Amino acid sequence: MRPPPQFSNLRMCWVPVSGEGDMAGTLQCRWASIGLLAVCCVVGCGGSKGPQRVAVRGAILFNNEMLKAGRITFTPIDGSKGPTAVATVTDGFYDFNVLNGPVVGKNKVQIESIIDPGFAMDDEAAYAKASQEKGGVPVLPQQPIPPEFNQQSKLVVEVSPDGEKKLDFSL
Amino acid sequence: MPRGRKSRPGFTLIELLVVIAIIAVLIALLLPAVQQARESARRTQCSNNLKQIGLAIHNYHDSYTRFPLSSIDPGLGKSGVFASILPYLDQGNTYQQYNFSLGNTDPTNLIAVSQKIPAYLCPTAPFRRPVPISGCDSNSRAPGTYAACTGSLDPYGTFPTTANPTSVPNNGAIVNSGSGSTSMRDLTDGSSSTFLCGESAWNFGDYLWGAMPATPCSGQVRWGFTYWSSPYPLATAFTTAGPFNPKSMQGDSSRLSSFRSEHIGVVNMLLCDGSARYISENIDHNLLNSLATRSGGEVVGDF
Repeated sequence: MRPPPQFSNLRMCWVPVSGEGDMAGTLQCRWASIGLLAVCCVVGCGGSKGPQRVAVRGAILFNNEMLKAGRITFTPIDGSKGPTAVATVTDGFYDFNVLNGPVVGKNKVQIESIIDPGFAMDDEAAYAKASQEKGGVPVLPQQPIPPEFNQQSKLVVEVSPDGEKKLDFSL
Repeated sequence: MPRGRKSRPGFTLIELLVVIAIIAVLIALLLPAVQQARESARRTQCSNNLKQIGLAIHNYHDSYTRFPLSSIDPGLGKSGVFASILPYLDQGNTYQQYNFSLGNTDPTNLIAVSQKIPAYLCPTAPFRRPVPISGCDSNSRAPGTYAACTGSLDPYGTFPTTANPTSVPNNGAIVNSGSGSTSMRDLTDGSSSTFLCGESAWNFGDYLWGAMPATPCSGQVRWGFTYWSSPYPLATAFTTAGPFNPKSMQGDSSRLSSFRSEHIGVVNMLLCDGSARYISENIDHNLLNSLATRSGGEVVGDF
């Protein structure tokens, strides 16, 4: 009489199971493979996300006039951490979406005016020429918005995940 | 005795099918991983490029006891870091061709500035238009994908002058000629927590050729500005003042001097100790600014 196959009771998929009981074995096998597939899918889908960002928009007044061209920067401070959010201000308005908006929490706001030096900023030749004409000093004009709104900004806003999504500033 | 199942050991058809199915699942899982392995290799190659650049800058420092300037002239038009370190990157012949008293856009320097230097090109970064286009990219300058870190403020900044009393000098490890010069001893924050260089990319789909200077390309998509030979801030003298790793310009040309890359979610940055690190694009901005400054006095934690 032939001895029974050694591993037949374990019913592992990759062990040759012969004779009786292989029907049950393949059934278990099917469930095992489905289970494996499911586990792989669940494990494989885990992605890393950055901090939560919020869509914010608003208007900026400088000296009671709409800021024509500028830049608004939200930098997280005081415990809130995350990347900075920068938007361009056009004719007084700025607009962030949930992908590039400020992170939830306290944010320092810096507002700058984009100054027109009389040539396009990517025109190196014009910059070099202007520099030569001025005798080698910096060519770009001074920032018209005072430093307490940009370089040494004291403007702090709390960005909440829900609620007020409209932030206006009057400088 | 009937022949059949009993007498022949082996696999049944269903078992075979299951095995094949499992193999198929494993292959399906593995194939994307292979693609990621390719990208991973390119990213490692990119960090190797940065390390070579770091080594070259250290060798430059050994020769001149200071770091190369991001721009050797106040007009920001002659040459910068990547031209200064050429002899230390085995590019001595290109260096010999370069006339440093003339600008990088001077036709005399055409042969030097049009050299594509492998160490200055990240293997991940695709070029969505040919660079250079003769007649558009001035002086047919070859592209680069790396830029020096000049701090956390305005890259154009210099010491205050009578014309601009609020101007603030560069506060990074590499500075422009208007902000003095720097050497290892100026890195009081520690060379392991100060950026030396970082990545740039040709990835701004909304950056168009301007009307001035007039070129045949005006109005077409320009994608980027980083020519290795140009010392201009939008080309190779970046700061962390703007957004980190932006994907578009949004009408603000200062974003051209933001560190950015074509890798997914990270930017390769070179530190002053010569090591290259992958920095997540979601890094806290205050931490990023601390790393960009050479003597800010900040305590930098883990990053």
